[in-house]
Parts: sequence; C-alpha cells; structure tokens
Amino acid sequence: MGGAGKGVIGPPASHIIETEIHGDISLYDPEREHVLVLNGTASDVWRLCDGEHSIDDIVALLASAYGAQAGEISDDVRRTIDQFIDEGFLPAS
Amino acid sequence: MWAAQDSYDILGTTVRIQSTALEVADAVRELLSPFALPRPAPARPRNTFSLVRGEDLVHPREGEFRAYRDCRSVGSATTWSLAASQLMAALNRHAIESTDLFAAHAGVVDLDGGTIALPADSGRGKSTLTAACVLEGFGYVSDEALCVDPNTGGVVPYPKPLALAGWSRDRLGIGETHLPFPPTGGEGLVPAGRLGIVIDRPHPLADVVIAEFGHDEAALKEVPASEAMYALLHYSFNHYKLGGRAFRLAAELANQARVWRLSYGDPIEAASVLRETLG
Repeated sequence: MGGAGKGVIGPPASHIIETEIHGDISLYDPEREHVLVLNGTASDVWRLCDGEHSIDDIVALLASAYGAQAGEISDDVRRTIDQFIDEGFLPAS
Repeated sequence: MWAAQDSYDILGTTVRIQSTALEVADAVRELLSPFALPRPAPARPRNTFSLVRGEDLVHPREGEFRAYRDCRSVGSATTWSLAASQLMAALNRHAIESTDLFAAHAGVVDLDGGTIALPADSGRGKSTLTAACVLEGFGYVSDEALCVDPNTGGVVPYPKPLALAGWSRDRLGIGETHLPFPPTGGEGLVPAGRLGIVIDRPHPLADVVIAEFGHDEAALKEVPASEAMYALLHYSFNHYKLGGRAFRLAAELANQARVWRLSYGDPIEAASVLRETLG
C-alpha cells in the first residue's frame, strides 16, 4: 500500500488525464480504465500534488487557504494523497 | 427470391434489409423509415439482414419465420412479428458495434430546444419512459442510445423503432393499430413516427436524467454534474474504443447539462414531472 512520506508529492503519471466539471477535478487512467471524481477539497489537494510540494507544504498551504489549523486538516490531506497513490493516480513517494 | 430489398444508413453503417414476403416489406420500411437511403446500396459482407418465410427456404419449413444476418441465423420464430423483433435486435447490435460515435445506453428525447438523455440499463423501463415522454409531447430521438459525435460534441439521432412489452403498451394506451406487426404476447415494435414527432436534428444536450424505476411517486432532484459523467461512462457501449476522448467528452457533456435523479413508478406521471420541471 502507498504512503505519503516527507518528499515532494507527484507529479502525476503522464498518462493520467485530468478534466474539470464545474470546478471539481475528475481523473481518468486509460491504462486501467479507472475514473475518479474529486470533490472541492480533494481537487485542491490534487492541484498541489505537482512535484513541487511536500505533504507538509500542502497541509500548510491548504490550512492557510481554509483558515484552519494544520493539525485539523493534516489527517484528511494525508488520507486523500494516500488514496491518489493507492489508486494509481500518483506515483508512490 | 427476394420480394423486397432496401438500404438504410444506421449510425454511419450502410445495411441492406431484404425479405421473401412482400407483406412484411412495408412494415419493415415503416419501422426503419428514418434511416432509409434513396437507392439500394450494394450488398456487402456482414451488412445484409434478411427475413425469410420458412416455405421459401432451400429445405422448406412450414410455419417458421427466420431472421438472418448475412448467412447466419439470428432467430427463428412462429410469427413475422417475433422474427422481425429478432432481426431488429441484431441490427441494433450491429449498428452500435460499428459506429464511430460515442454511444451510451439511454432513452433520448427533445423538449423546447434541448436534448434530454435518460441513461439506464436494459429492462429498467427506459423505452417505456421514453415512449411516455413522446406521448407527453417531447420529440423522439432514441429509445436505445445517446449518440454523440466525438469531434463536435453534437447529438446524433438514432430513432429506431421502440420495443415495448405488453404491459408498457397497455399502460401507455398504445393499441395494435400503432404496430405494423401484430404483437404475439411479447414485445411489440412501434415505429417512431406513430407516437409523435421524430427529431432529425437534435439540439445540444441540455439535461441528463438518471432514472430509477420502482418507486411510488415521481420525484426529480438536481444532483452534481459529476453524476452525469459517471452515468455516461458507466452506460457507454463503446468508451473503450475512444479511451481518453470518451472521458473528456463525458466531462464536456456533464459540464453543459443540468443533471437530475428521477425516481418514479408510473411512466406517465414521470413524463409529466419531467415536462413541468425541464420545460
């Protein structure tokens, strides 16, 4: 199983196709014919999984954007990133 | 041997339909009239569908009626009606398998300048709901598939004859006068033009209604657009041919349409609710 470590997260594999539906991101892996529709929060996490940010960076940025404490959102962010990895949309860290 | 031979263009595939009995030729012509080509096209392998009376076979079989695709039997029946149903089913499979359009299993109707897709599986009331909508005044686009040109995003009509079971016809008040072939206890084929207006140039997709039969009262609620993308891909016949293009197309269609969930028990009530809300 995947796990989000301390290095940068992403970028997504080049074959992953991304599109937006009313502002929320949907992902498609043509190799496995797998679709994943993200809600608003997951879409924000995904946008930061670009190979430029560590998980701590992502938590900090989103906490600032949402006006929340990092500790309040850290678990949810990690679970979301783990799901992206487990479902093959991001390479394992 | 052939009393009638006619050619049709169905979703971009040219087919020839022939029969050994003149009495069925007019009925078949009416069923497939939206697809008729002005002149017979040359017969090609894998694209000729035939209705043959048993007595006309090389080894005659009295009381039988057969349907063929090229040289292969696709059905044998005791009435022309059943044989015609078998032929139409084979023709439908061929058209869907052959088309280059994106095709999703759905009833499709038109209301006030917008196309409405009703995605659902077989046997879940899709054709009955579609017929109820047409009788309510919606235009008829298809009872089988939402077909979309992947290059333009435009809806392509597929007004095949509606295949309605006996209970559906009874509930909708569709009597035998609507049927070119008398039904014999099962499914009856209703030409598109006998129910209402057939749309030959559909408007852009405006609504996707994910319908679920088996409830007491009709209720319609708006849902996130992503549910339309899931539905269109889930019910797609051929997204595997288009790969990423199908995904992007489904997302584009979801972005442009309003998306609803409809729960209903009575198709006539459901059609009325759809007309009130979407019109």
